[in-house]
Amino acid sequence: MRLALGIDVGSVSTNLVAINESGQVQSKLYLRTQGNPIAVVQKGLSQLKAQLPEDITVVGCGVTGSGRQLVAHLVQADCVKNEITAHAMAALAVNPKVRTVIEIGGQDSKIIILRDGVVVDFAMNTICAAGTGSFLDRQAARLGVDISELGALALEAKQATRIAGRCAVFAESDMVHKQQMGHPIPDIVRGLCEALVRNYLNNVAKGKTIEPPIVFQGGVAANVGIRKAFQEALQQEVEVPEHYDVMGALGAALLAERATVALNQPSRWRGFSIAHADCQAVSHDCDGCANHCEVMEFRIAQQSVAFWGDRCGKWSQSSSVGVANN
Amino acid sequence: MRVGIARSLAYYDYYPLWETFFQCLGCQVVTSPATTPEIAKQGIAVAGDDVCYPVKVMHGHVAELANKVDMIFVPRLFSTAVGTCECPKFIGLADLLRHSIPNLPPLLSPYVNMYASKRGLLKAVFVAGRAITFNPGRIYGAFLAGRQALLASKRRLQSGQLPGLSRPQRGDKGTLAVIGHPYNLYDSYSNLRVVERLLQQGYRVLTPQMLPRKTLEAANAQLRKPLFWSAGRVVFGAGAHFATRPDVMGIIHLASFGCGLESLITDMVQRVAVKHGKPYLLLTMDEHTGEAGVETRLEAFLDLITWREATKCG
Repeated sequence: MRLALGIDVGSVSTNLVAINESGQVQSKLYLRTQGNPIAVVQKGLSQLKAQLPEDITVVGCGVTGSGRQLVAHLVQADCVKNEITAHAMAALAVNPKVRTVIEIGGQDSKIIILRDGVVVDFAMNTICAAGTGSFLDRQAARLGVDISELGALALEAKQATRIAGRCAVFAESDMVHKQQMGHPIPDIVRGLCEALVRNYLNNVAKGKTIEPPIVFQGGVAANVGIRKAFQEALQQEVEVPEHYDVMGALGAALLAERATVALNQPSRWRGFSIAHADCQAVSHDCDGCANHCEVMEFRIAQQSVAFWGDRCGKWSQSSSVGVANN
Repeated sequence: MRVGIARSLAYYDYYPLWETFFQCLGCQVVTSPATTPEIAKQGIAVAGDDVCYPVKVMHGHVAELANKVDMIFVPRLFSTAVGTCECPKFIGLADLLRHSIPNLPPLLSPYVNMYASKRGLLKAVFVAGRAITFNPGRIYGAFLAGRQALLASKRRLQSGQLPGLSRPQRGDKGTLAVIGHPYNLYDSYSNLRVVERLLQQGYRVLTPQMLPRKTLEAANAQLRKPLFWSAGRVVFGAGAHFATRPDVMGIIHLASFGCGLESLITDMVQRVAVKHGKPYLLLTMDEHTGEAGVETRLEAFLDLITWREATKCG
């Protein structure tokens, strides 16, 4: 079986997807990054290998997410792409007519506007992480609720408690206050969902025309409370795709296929053996000039295989292996 | 006498004038180097925490000059065009610096007020000149020479040449407009090399400073009420003009997080861009040095443009 792999290395979760020749998801993994992108991708690759049949050929490998540069060196990716393009590709594969993509992940939230299958506008949250997955995680932990049950809890609410969603710090103090006043937890959680949606629509989606079909993806799409809050706020049907939690990885796999199979190019993919290799990233401050770039170095079995992060190219051009940047 | 000039803020608008002026008066002009992490760090350490990042960087540049010169030139820019004002931080800049950085040499900060009339500038010129000579003829001569130098640099900009760039722009990938304050556009360290990246990839970059004043004025005329700030007129005027230009594939707006003016202008430009269907990307900068956020947004924006252009051609 010929497969393309996609890896999305996010701040909170790392996702891996293997798709077959018709673009169907063959196997997927959703793992917590827990501050160690290299180790989690290695772990993910060996788990993925175990899930897949014996006779597979990897025809392409794409990476995306905030850790894409690092992991691109680890797996020798055929395609290194930003999350916006990857998410848009995946949403288009799910629904070719999609006009709005709402994506909420761990520390990022984005809106992508498409017309006739082409991205025409997008926006991401700026400095603030209010209203993203990390914040929900934290509030769930504080209320002693499992994050996977948070959404269902919101649906039990009779009404929504009003919570300030502008800022994560203020939202938290507001929630504590409302809880001490005696508001039931489901009402507070529903209020939180509504505040998050309000914040998203006012900040991330500011000035954008949200038109159906709307696809809602990213880890937070698992939360039925948020889904419902979006539907109510937008007065529109909001579609959550089957593989909503790994859409970035799916997009990366589709892009990798485009970069290899579609162009008749061989894959550069290092192979599953990398899962058990001794891999390490180290950094040092270059003192060649006043810029003092933080130069990253990637080592496999104590051998340098790549440098990056320098502005002048003194280190990166000396790398024995470059990385595809298409 | 050694006169220090910080490579920051108004430097990017007026440096040729200042340099020639002081040189004609027989001074040695010492300019701080391009922003480095060290300069930025020093600025952040000494500046008050509620000023915007560019003003913090300015503090670093002035501190860098402190023991290298006899005085530092920091004009008090109240108004640089009739009927407009500068940002309050520009007006109070000399005071901010004097109180934040210990052991500074004297600051030469003539009050520039052109609100009522352009002639206000001459007053400032003579105040600055008298710190060096009492000969009014020499001062006026130095000013005229400085003005020539400034006009020459403006002409270079208007012909499409970016400051500090030796090679001509390739532009084989097409044209993008990058708008914002000059100290964000031309300080490669502070803007996380956004302009540099675009040039490297083969885009031609247009900036507000490349537009003639008439073009900016025409674009501003669509507003119901003229903008109060001179910098705002330039950024908005440029954005509104570029939004209508068929050769400009998209507008990238570099804004400082703490900038009161930008908080309004970004929204105003975005509205015009949407109206004309022009791709618009807002990049908000602050003290962070991590380039991943900027890289992601920029890459996605360039993808969008490439994709769009490809479908346009059929």
